[in-house]
Amino acid sequence: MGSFLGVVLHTDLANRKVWREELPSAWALKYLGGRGINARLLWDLAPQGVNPLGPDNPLILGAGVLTGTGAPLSGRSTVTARSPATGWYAKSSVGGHVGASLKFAGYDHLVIHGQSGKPVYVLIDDDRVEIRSAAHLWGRDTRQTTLQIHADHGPEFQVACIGPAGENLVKFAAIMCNIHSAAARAGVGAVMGSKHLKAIAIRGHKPVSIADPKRFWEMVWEARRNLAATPSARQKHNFGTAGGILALNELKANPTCNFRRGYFPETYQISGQRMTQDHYTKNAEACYSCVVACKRHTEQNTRDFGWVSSGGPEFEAVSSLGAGTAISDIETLLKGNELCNILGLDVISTGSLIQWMMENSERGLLTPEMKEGLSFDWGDSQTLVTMVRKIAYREGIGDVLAEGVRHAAGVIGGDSWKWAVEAKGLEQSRVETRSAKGYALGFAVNPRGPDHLHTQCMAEFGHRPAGVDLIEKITGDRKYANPYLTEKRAEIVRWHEDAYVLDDGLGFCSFATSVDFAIMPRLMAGFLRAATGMEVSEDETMSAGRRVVTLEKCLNVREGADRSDDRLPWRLMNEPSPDRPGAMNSKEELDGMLDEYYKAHGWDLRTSRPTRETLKALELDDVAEQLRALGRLPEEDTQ
Amino acid sequence: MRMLRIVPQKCTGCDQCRLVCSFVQTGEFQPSHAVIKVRSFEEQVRFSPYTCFQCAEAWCMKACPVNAITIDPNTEARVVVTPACLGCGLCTIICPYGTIYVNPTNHKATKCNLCHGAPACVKTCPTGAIEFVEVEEPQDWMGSWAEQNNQPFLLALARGDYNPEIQKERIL
Repeated sequence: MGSFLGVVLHTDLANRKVWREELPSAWALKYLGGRGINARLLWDLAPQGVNPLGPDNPLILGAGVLTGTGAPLSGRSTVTARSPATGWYAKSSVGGHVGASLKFAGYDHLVIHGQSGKPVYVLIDDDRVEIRSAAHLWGRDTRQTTLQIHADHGPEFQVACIGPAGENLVKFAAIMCNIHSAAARAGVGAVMGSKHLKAIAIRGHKPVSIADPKRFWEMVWEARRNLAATPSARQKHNFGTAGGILALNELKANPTCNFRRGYFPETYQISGQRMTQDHYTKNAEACYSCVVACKRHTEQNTRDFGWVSSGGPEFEAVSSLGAGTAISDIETLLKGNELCNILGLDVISTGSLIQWMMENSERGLLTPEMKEGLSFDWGDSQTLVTMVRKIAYREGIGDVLAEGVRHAAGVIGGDSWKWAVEAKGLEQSRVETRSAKGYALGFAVNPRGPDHLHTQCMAEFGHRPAGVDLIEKITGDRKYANPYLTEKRAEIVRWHEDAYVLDDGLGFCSFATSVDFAIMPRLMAGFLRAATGMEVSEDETMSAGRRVVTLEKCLNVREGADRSDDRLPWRLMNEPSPDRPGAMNSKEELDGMLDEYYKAHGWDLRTSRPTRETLKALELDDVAEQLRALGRLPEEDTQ
Repeated sequence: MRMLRIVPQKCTGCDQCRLVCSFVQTGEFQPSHAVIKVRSFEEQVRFSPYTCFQCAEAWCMKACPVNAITIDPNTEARVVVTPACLGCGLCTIICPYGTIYVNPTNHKATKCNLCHGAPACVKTCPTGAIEFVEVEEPQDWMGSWAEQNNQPFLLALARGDYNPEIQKERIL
């Protein structure tokens, strides 16, 4: 059916078996491809109470419905599993060329089952699927692994692999695609490591067709005209995502020193603008089919660390490893970023842990044995570079930190949990939610933990006419384009949730929707129609988005999640931001927004669990039945 | 005549040209069926698209035993007349640039035909890395670049003081 193939490739590493499965073609609309079908497969394949690092936790890679076609910014794919970091649902979106290769090999989704006894890698060359020994790759970093596979099998193979961090089951290990693109959040790399799966290499020669080429190309050019007219897309091409940190700094919303400050005076030193002007940035790199190319490639022969070359640093790396730890030396930052990439670590979590340790040190919670000769002072380069290595290889104190900040706070003790900026066990991404209420709500309800890749409601700032128009469309009034208001945040967050499912499902980059306002749901529904030939409306796709959001919630509810899990980090709820007077998240405020949000979804207010009617209306009857059997529906429904 | 000039420094590796090319040539998306290729140097994050620049010698045309390759009078592109092609592959062997291929599905030669005067890759390239420019006669657009970049190293090699690190830095 057009660009939706409906084929799942199953690979069982324990029994060395490979088989294909055809999906019902209706799933393309019911679950909107990539992310939604991944969630559904996880629901069907992972039993309740599965050990995230055990053999029964499947690792699912799903390409978007439009991935592999010429639609702009459509090259993204989603990695889904049960998260070892949080114990809840985990999805991680990744760019690069891997998703498109999977599509060209003739599959939409790849599911890895079981655990191999010995290190292996999976080689997919159209219909030829092999599970090969990775004895020569195990222990090597992501760059060496990728280049070795290219040398062995040819450079056309697109490689997704883990580094030493994933092998050592670091709870926030990343899967690195094409060396520089990361599926990093919530520890999907550790799941891959637990399977002793070093890499997935994919090459494909099968064509991807589309149902209605004429309409499709009209859509493509409409999307490209919109993107060309967008200043934020141009800025991302010129300076990368790291270019945005200067503006945030001026807004006093640049999380500095572990979220204690909102302003970092030396931000220019680590910004994308500086990296471009001083020629640290050598090239812009694009994900598959992307016309914006916001990815950077930086190279420098540094004074202290020798030749440093890597992708990025992106905004999150700059903010987490740089502003967060008060490091303004660009060369340290480049080295830290390179190490995270080649060792396969999530920069957000790694930086969060290191800045948390720096605060512990300042408050006198660290003994000299814990410090192991490092100073742990704010802004200390040596601490950053050494700790990244120690975490990846689980050496010394790194072994404690590799379990995530929630576990580490239990080991360090004292009040250190108060400045562990985490919720659900996941370190918060670099957003100052105290001065943006919609973000705060979105972060609290995100099923994988507090970050921006579930709902990034940038429109609430009202910084661009298109954003104000969007807020007016959602809420009916332009005055709600104000991040300090708590009214109508539930509606705004819910709209963004639905749009994000559509983005991730079709393979579009979410920047195009929520930041650039260029590829909006109307256009995405049009793309879906033209590519698959299904007659669907914008409203149908948005309600399919709601179905997926509810299904993701149910994946957590099945494991026992309730309202107390939808929270924000303690620091953001109890300490005001000093650089932005009055900016604060409070319990009352969050509770009010949560009530409104659950009501909008038709979920139970007390437990936050979806009710049976809601699930029925979303055609998730079998999900409701399973939850009832487990006693996980809201009380009145269980009896 | 007008020819394709490629500026590899501007390429971001998005593969839009290959996608569009395969669609224009075959009606489906499959980059390996495109007649423009992108060589990616993944570690260095450098990308180099390349395709036929319609060379003056037209080796493929001269080698073809059945005269299935001709010059399009409108664009001066060297084009394959698909029904006449036997699929012998001689053209792919003789082409010194490696820019003519045998299509794996119909086993006929296939090469850049400049999309009959409006190259789709030029239109789609988001960074302007592929230009469609007016020239006196077909020319090898990478020759001068390669000469300029390689000469110092060839000389250094001859002198015996060749240092790969310096070469790396220079090319970057």
